[in-house]
Amino acid sequence: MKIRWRLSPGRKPFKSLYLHIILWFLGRSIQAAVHIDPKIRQEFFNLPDDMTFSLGVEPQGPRMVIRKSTQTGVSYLGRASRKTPADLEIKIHDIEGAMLLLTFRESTAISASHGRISIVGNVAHGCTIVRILDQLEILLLPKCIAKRAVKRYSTPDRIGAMRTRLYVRTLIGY
Amino acid sequence: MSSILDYDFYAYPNICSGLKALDTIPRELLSFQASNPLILKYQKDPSRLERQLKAACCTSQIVLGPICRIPENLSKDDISTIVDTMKESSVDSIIAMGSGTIQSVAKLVNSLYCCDFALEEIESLPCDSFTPLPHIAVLDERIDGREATNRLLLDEYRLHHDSLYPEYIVIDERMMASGRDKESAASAIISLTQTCEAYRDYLLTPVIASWTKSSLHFLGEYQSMSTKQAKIALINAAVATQIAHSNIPPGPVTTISEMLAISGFCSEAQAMATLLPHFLSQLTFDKGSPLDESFDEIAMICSDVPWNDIQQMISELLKNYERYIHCSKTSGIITSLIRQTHRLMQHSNNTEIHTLITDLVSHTTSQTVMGGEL
Repeated sequence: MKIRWRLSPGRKPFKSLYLHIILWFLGRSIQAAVHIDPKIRQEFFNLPDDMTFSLGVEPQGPRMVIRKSTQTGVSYLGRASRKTPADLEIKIHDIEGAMLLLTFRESTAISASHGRISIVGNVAHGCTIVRILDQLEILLLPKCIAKRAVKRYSTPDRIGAMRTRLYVRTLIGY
Repeated sequence: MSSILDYDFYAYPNICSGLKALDTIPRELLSFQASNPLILKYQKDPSRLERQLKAACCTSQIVLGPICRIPENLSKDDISTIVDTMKESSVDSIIAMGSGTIQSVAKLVNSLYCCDFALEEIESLPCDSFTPLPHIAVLDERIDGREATNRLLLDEYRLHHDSLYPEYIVIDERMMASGRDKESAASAIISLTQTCEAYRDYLLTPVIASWTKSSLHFLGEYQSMSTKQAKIALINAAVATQIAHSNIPPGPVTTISEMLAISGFCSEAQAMATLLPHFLSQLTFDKGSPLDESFDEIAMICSDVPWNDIQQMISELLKNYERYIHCSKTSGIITSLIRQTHRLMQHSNNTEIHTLITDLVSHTTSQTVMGGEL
């Protein structure tokens, strides 16, 4: 019988890089979308002030943190430290689950039903965040991809103009 | 009725089946607060499985512990070596990749390690539960279902202990070989038989009913899906069946088939395939149940049992008939099976066995008439 003593954890550099980029982009686009889309603005209005929420890959993967405050509105805080937990944490359990979700092959609802996502915090607020993410995906993605990524697809008015403004504000970062 | 409803039901393992299921292992390890797992796999299995497990740990920083590649002809020394390796590396969990022997070895070394027993003392495991290491079972298509239960079957070692349940079961497409084969057919027939037994006798017990209905659903998928998906459905069926079946006394077909398999006359699946159609003919199912004529096709997969083997099965059945008649509550089924063997034996030239069977049938009939039950 052969025994091998140790096997160090492997690496998935491309997937990890992709997740870093997409979470950075999603974070900045949430910050921008509040100024553009009335639905997203309304959803944020329902959340308590000075609330932070995070979306990240467990246990040590990339993540994004968003804060809603009365002074600055909605702001993207980058990765932030894991030592200071957010009020609401949406955790994707592993990197492959994150790839399925963030390459838009699986909707948030399907991912949750397959046990790839868990929420730590107020579940009602978690549902609000999921609705915000769904609306954001509708704005950012072409219809054929967005249809797979969200549970119900509804085309907003003047989507072309909103999408252009959203991309510009996301890239510029205000 | 109260005797049926009045017992503990163990449906212990969490089951994760489907796309990227292998990648959930690091999270489970962390939930068990384990970071140094022992890995057991077959020596002949491809090393890509190790690489996939290694890649799955990329965000967790878990260093996979000693990896033991188990040879086909496992010796007692090998088991002692694994236990010594566990002690030396202070492992805190076990990941067993494969079915059958691998899972039995995992249960055996887990018991030996946790109780600090020698291999010779294994029969005297404490009756009260001991706390085993978390056991993660990654199953492949060579499953017979017992891997998911508290049973251990390895050469002369046979154990049945509630601490032997695996903690977590992973069913991933990447563990499956392509193509339909005899092993899958055997798993299907074993699952189907045991599901039918559990379904017939324990439908009033809601937990068993739910597991057996799940199993029938998966067996239906096995019939209709493409190869790898079919195997995943089959493993799900086998696991669901065994979780239900390990909580009830073995039914008549299982009892007779196990006995024949241990005697070495034919495989368990072959015996089941011969006896199952006659068992099925006794059953009535709800409308819309997936158990329809399509399952006869599964039964036919293994039905090419040589005639000599059937003769031997029957003679062995006769020798042990009295013993098995007391094990089973389903005397009507036993009667049916005996009658079927009688019908089969009408073509036989062996007068001795023929006489024995005839006597047995008359005995069975008289008992049924007199007492209603045997």
